Amino acid sequence: MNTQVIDLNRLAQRRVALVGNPNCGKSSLFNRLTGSQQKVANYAGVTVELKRGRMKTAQGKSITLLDLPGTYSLNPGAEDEAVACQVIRGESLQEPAPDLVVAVLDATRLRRSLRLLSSLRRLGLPLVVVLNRVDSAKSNGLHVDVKRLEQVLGLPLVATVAVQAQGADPLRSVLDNPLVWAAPASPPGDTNDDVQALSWMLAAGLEQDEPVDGWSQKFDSVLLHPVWGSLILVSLLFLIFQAVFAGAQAPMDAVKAGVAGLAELLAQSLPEGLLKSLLIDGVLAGVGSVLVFLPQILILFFFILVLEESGYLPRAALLLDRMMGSIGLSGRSFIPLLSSFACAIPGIMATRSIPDQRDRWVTIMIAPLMTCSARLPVYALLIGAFIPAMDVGPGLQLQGLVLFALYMLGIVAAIAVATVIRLCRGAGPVAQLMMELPDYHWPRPADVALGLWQRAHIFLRNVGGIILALTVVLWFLSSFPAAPAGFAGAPIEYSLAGRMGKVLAVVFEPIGFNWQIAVALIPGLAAREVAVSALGTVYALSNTTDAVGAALGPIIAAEWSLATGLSLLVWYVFAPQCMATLATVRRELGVWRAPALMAVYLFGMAYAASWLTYRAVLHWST
Amino acid sequence: MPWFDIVAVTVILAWACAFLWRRWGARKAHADHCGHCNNANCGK
Repeated sequence: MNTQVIDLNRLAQRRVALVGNPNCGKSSLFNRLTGSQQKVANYAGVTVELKRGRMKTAQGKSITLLDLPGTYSLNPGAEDEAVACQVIRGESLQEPAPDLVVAVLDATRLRRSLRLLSSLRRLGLPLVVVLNRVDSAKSNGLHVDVKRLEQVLGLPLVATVAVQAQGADPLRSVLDNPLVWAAPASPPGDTNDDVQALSWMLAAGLEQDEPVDGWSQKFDSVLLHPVWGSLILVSLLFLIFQAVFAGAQAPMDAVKAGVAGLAELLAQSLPEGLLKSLLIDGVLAGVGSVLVFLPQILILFFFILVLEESGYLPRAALLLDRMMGSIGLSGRSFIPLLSSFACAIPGIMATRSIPDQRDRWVTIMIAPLMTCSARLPVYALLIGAFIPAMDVGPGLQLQGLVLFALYMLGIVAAIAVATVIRLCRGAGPVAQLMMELPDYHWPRPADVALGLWQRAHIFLRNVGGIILALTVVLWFLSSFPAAPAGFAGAPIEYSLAGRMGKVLAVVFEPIGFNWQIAVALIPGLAAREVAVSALGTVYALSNTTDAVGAALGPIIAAEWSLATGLSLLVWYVFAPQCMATLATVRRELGVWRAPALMAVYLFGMAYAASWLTYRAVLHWST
Repeated sequence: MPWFDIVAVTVILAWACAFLWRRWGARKAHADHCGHCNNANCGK
């Protein structure tokens, strides 16, 4: 075995890179070793950029661990693979070459993992091999003799099950001992990686290429069927949106009661004055209005996480590949678009896995039309206020149906925009979808719970941070200058925010928005859900009640017409009310023209669609 | 108007403005959002 001596005292500066095929468990191993909580899921292409973390070896030495996007070879096809290859080859401008490469092999996909290992050996970097998912391979009938494979490869090898922490401690010990890190001699330059991989497998007594998961094949025969599979996909989505309304009422009532109780307590214990107004009309009315939607967000993400963990999502991409092809996109666009249902920003970043730049550009342009979770509080508020909670069929709630329709409207709009772009720019060649389908497995409750906790943490951090801060500023702008004695109307109308709202209302009057909505849309540009807290604050300062945080829905139902409510719903389907998304588009595409075009077309569509909705409902209701 | 009201409201307002200013700076620095920061140990 070829070994290389490395000064232990310099370990603190050492960088160790995790390299492997997509979906082989690198990020799970990274999380396990560094204690961080990077996003992991049961499909390829989740990690699209370099992640850094610090880990301790068994002897307590500090090492910088790099989690690289998955790649099948050192000849990159897409931008995420290029990131990995540049770092490994030492060609990255941001990251020096790693001191050690930990090649993560997937025991259930050994041949293609060994192909990459063969390429890595040629670089001459010190190598340690991790054989991950040995449990899945064993349960599928493939027994790997770890000792024999280690001898055949001539490299230190650790067997792991990253999701269960198995093998993490032996790996820490190996990282502690640079004497066993092997810098392999370069094999002959014309060695075919596949031939090398096969010869390693045969030498290790592994004649079976990949284990066959019978259950996955049986499920796929139904779930990938063009007719049954599509029906099951639509039914699943439909059921999820029904559950968002049907299952959230009790916890939402509990949060509302908590907010109302706190407002009551403050109202009784604080003297009349600025502080009381700030805490009740500003903070509680604003933040409380958003907080009540946490249960619905968690229910939605529970289902998304379960589908992610089970391995179903890439099947959905495959099902939609034909439809995507008809609008000039490949199924590769599906995962970024799916990520956009959580938040457009990771969705836009995930487009780095799309090799065709034209496809990538179109996918980025339509990503904000996917309904992100920040829209859910706005939708839930308006649906709760204007759509009656009635059954329209056995087990079918009208409110859930409307929510489903709003999500579908975003998808249909995205298809329409992609089609228009294809017609304008000409149809490019449609890339064939090559996607690895992971085996199905039961979602691990601990992973689902962690995913929900992360989602709740992000939401609560936003509520306690940006939403609270903007609410405080909006309260100030809505309270000053104070109205003089004898002022006719609510004091907020005299304030700076009230005056700004009345100016903006001229622009929004044709689509039915009043000045209160116009005021809420401005801070709502920072994040969509801020509009709900802003409406809470504005109406708290416009009314005498102290319980707006818990009762914003009934107040807007009484003050707005149905046409206005539906017009605002449609506005939120299209409007790019998120500056962070536009900034990310600028960062990803490198030109301001792209976010400018996106803002213009989305605001244009929002205004046109809201105008049509407002006029149609007015016409229908008179 | 009680002095305590003025002090408390001023402090809260100053915090809100400082928060928004810092956040704007952080966004310009590395556009982190929804926990998507390059550095896994930065705590964001």
